[in-house]
Order: sequence, then structure tokens, then C-alpha cells
Amino acid sequence: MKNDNIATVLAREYGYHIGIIERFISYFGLETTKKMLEAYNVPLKKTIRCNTLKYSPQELLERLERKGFQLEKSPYYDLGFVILAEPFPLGATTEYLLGGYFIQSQASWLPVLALEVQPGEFIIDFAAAPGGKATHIAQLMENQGVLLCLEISRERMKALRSNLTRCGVKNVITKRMDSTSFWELNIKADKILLDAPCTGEGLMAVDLDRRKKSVKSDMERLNEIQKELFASALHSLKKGGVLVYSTCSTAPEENEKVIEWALEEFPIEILELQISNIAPGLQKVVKEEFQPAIRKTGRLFPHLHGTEGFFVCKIQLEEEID
Amino acid sequence: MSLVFRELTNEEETILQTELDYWLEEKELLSFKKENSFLIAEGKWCELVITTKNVERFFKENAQISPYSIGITFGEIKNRKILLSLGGAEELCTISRKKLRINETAEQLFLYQRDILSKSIIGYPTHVNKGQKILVTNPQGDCLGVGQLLLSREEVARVENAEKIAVKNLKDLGWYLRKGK
Ligand SMILES: C[S@@+](CC[C@H](N)C(=O)[O-])C[C@H]1O[C@@H](n2cnc3c(N)ncnc32)[C@H](O)[C@@H]1O
Repeated sequence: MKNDNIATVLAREYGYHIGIIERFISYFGLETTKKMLEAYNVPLKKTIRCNTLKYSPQELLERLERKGFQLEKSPYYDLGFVILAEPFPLGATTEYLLGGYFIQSQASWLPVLALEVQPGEFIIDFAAAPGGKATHIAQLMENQGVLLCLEISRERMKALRSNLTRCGVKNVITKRMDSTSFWELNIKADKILLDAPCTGEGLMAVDLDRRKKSVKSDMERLNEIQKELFASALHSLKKGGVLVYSTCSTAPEENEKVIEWALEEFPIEILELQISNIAPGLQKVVKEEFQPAIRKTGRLFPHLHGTEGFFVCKIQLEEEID
Repeated sequence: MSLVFRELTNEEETILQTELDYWLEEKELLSFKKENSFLIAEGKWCELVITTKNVERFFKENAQISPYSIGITFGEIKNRKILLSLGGAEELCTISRKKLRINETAEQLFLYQRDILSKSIIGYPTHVNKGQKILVTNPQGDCLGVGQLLLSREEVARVENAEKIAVKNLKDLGWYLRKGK
């Protein structure tokens, strides 16, 4: 069968928009696409991150086990737990209300770990709501230094603030703004996290509605924003500063291609991720070949890692940009 | 409406000092003030926020930021008094002695905005009087909220008062589920 016929069959069988399947096949090949589709049919494991501003992982484990939850340590992170049994909602325990943990996917931990946060630093989260990664950064900063959280959405700002408060984050300033113009304030940070707005094409296991939607129209608009945010972030870094860029998308347009563009535009270097088992960034998409350094970016795939599709890249700024 | 952040006036400093004097012993008070900074967030209400010295310094050096929020809301200033927020209560809880401990059954009820019965109390603080405020904790010492004492330590100890309300619920963590999302 030809690939376009196969695409139609797969789209019907797995309930996807044909355009998504065609793109998957052209980027990852038929065999990987089939494995991805199969893996997206398995619900993601529920996971939590222990907030060490409140409890040690051992204390949290004991408390939740006493309440009848069954947990096991995450293979990816020593502060993470996989939930095996949930006798009542995880979001209703006293420990949750006290900010003792954050319900968060395993993939979401990686960008923050890639930042290699140090307590006294000045760090900006460029797209912060609802605060999953910001609260993680804050706990690694041990409530020292300064964490600046930017977010454009008025509605999501409330959730961000509520989560920061619940998690006991005191070293934080939040600001509602379009981060594409943050660079105009001429404030330079040690590190920036850009967990960019994206199509969410890696979330097919979580959000079944996405399977039916063509991403084409969103892609162009988002791509523009991603690049503008990237440029604004680089302008807001000190020399030698670090930017981590991440998306919950498998689409190379939002990942490797953004990095390839940035490599050509700015004085930056891609750093090794130091995350074991992560898949390297794509070297080639259809006929387009990327610079060798793109291999240092990282990807998570549902069929390889049991997570959502995810992309992360760590970059160092070699010269301050005016 | 956006908030304007500024330093405390002398009057607000006094109000804060009175509040902290109530909750903390001298030693704890000194280290608490040394470790934290306070700012006023002025909008429709006058809120007191607690943050770190570093953040306060950063904010003063970068006033052009005009923040949406800074640190954690410690309480609201109303009629020259501070109404502690949940964040404020939690900040004080580890170091204040004015804590009332309740059992696990009462913990669940308290989180549903219910008052506390005498029989549910497993630890009543000293140096507090009827009518005064206390921080409410579970058996593990986690801060569940703020209450007001309706019965004295002696009254709580009396068997005939077991079913009587001893503490009025002023603020509880369940708020995060009801409104805080
Ligand atoms: C992937 S989500 C961030 C998730 C967050 N980092 C977390 O871990 O909880 C992207 C966020 O970027 C925000 N956003 C989109 N465009 C923006 C812009 N131009 N400036 C600032 N924030 C933006 C969205 O409202 C959304 O909350």
C-alpha cells in the first residue's frame, strides 16, 4: 500500500485528522508513526513532584501511603513519584492544599532539570502559567535569588499566583505581559526558561480532541510567536546566560527548526543536556538537513519513554545582545 | 485593576509589628523580620505581602516592571488590623506557639469550613484567651487555617462541653478548592 493510502487507513483506525498522520509519517517514517499512535492510546501515568520547600520525598511518601495512595519512585527523577492507586482525588489532600506536591507529567521536569538551577540566581520564566515549572524552579532555588514569572493571559495569571502561593514561593515577582516585548525593559537574567506556547501535538494521549484537528493554521501563528519569544529571551540574558527552550510538541517546525533559525541569527551555542535516555533531536526532516549541533537537543517520544511527546534544548548565549 | 506596590508607612509598620508581637515570641520575631521583607500591594484593598530581601531589592532597582504580584499575600489591612491570609498563617505556623491541634476527623470537617468541637482538640496552647485567634493544625502540625477561641482551655477540658463549638473557623485551606483555583 502506498503511504498516502496507509495514512488514510491509520487516520481512520486511530481516529486522527489525516493531515496529522501524513506529517508524522513524513517526519518519523511509517514504523515509528505506528508505534507512536499505539503508544498514544495508552493513558499517561499520573505523576507528582515533591515540593521540597514543604516536605522531603520520604515524608511525602509516608504521608500519602498512610492515606491509602500507592506510589513508586519515578525512574526519571528522585523527587518524582508515579501514582499506582488513588483512593480519592490527589488534588484534595491536605498535603496537596499545603503545596506539598504538584501533579505534573514526568516530561515537564526535564526543562527545569536542564536549567541546572542554583539558589542565588536571577531566573525568568517567560511563559509561566499555570506555574508547574515555575514552582519547580523556585524549590530548586530554595526560595533564594529572584524568580520573575511572565504570562500573557489574564485568566491563567490567577492559577499561576494561586499555585505559587500554595507552594510557598516567596522569592517571586509575577508580571502579566506579552513576553515578546520583555527585552525592551533591558533587564538581564542568569537563566531563562521558555516553555513555549505550541500546538501541543505531543499531547495526543491526554487530549483526544487534538487528534481531529489540523494543526496547520495554528502552526504558522505559533511559529512566529515562538521565534519572537526566543529572540526576546536571548536579548534578556547576560553574557554566558542559559536559555532552555521546550515544547510539548513533536513537530520539528516548533522544535529543531526554531533552534536552527536561532543558530543562524544569534551568537549562541547548544549545550549537552545531561539527561540520560533522552532521544537526540532530528538531524533531517524530509529533505531539510540541520546543523550537526541540533543533535544535542532532546526529544521524548511516547513509544520510547512512556511520556507525552516533548522537546527540550539548552542554549548558552556567547555575547550579550543589545 | 492593577496593584501598586510600595513600602509600608510608619502606621502600617506599627500595625504589622502589633500583629507579629501577638503571634511570635521575641526571639522568633527577630529572626522572622530578619529573613523576610514586607511590602504593601495597594488596589481595591490594601494587602500586605511577604517576600525575600533579594526580591525587595530587585523590585526597587527595577520599578519599571510594575508587577502583578510579589511573594505571598500575608494578609489584608482593614480597620488598622491585619486579617491573616492562608499564606500568612502558614508562614507563622512553624514558629508561633499559638497553635491549636485537632484530630484527623475534625481536620476534614475544618477544611469544609466547619467550626471545631471541644472533643476534637488534641492540643490547646497556653497564653491565649477566649476570643483570641489561633492557628489551627492537624496532628502532624500542618497549618490548616485560622480560628477564634470560643471556649477556654478549662472549658474545653470539661466532659459536658465535648459537643460544644470551641473554635470558630475564620479561614481554612479548603479555600483553595472552593475559590482559589
Ligand atoms: C506551555 S504553556 C506554559 C506552561 C508552564 N510553563 C507550566 O509549566 O505550568 C505556555 C504559556 O504561554 C503563555 N503565552 C502565550 N503567548 C505568550 C506571550 N506572548 N507572552 C507571555 N506568555 C505567553 C500562554 O498563555 C501559556 O500559559
